[in-house]
Amino acid sequence: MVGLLGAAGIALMLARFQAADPEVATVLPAPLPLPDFALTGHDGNAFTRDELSGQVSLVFFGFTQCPDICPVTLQQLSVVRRRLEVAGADVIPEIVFISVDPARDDTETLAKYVSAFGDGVYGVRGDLDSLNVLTEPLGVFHARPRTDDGYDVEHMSAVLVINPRAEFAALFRPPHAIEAIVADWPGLVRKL
Amino acid sequence: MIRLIVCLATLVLASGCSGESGPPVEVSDVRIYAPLPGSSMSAAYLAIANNTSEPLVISEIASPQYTSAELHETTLSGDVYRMRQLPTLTIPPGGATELREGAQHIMLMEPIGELALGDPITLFIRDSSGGELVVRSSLEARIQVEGN
Repeated sequence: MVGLLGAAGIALMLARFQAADPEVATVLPAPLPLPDFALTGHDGNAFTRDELSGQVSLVFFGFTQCPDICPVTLQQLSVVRRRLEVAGADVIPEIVFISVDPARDDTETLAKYVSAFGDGVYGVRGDLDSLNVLTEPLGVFHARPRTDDGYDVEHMSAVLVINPRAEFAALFRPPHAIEAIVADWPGLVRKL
Repeated sequence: MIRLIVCLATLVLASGCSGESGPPVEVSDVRIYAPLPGSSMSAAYLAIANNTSEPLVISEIASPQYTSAELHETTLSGDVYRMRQLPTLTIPPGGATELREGAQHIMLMEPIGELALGDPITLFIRDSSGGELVVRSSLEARIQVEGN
């Protein structure tokens, strides 16, 4: 029932906000081309800039052993995607989850993890050097400070919006409120 | 949504009970989530009300279903998420604290044996004066995929 009510509400909201500028997304003044990076998808396939071309992607950096904010954020993005599908949005984002914990997140672990979020979530990993090729030019922070019994993982909170030309074009800062992102979507896509 | 909790809530406080009717400590809105596939970590969330006239200092969490359980806090500093362990959590007299997503929470690490959704899970919430609150709930799925 929640889904049906949500769908109706979203359809109305999409119509209402179709021409509006985005309110919660931050659109970069000039899109930033992604560097040439080489990572690996959860299915073992190469994941490079080419895989992001021709689609709009919502990219979140996290790790599978994160008990709190990572599953919350991926759930929010999954629901956004699902609601845009139900509302018949012209552009449906692909969700890309890039691990910043390569020591624990192998492709098999990532594949299991992203499967929990339904369709449209793709897990990506790479060693730290490969990861930094992507993150450093974009200013994406991640770190693994040592602790007494291992290490913590710190990571960027924002969700990056990658446009079909494989450019970093916008971002969503937390809280990643589902209704607000859905309402923003038509206006944001227009600016990508 | 307030869930009905916790069958056994037997916190024995050394001092500070209000003396009025009703429990000295109330726990509500308990959600204990199963780890996602591929992960050995998960979280539990709940609200705790301290109806006594003394601070309630939670100093230890344990669960027989998990190798360890700890109080943790997710913080947002600038554009960075960090998570840190909390040595204690203090709830002031007459106050309440909500452990919730993106904030303070109970981190559950490495289930002991196979867990299935609906399995009973017990949390022992211990305070610095030796009191113990026993919280029992069932294991829930973290992710509800809309429309699937």
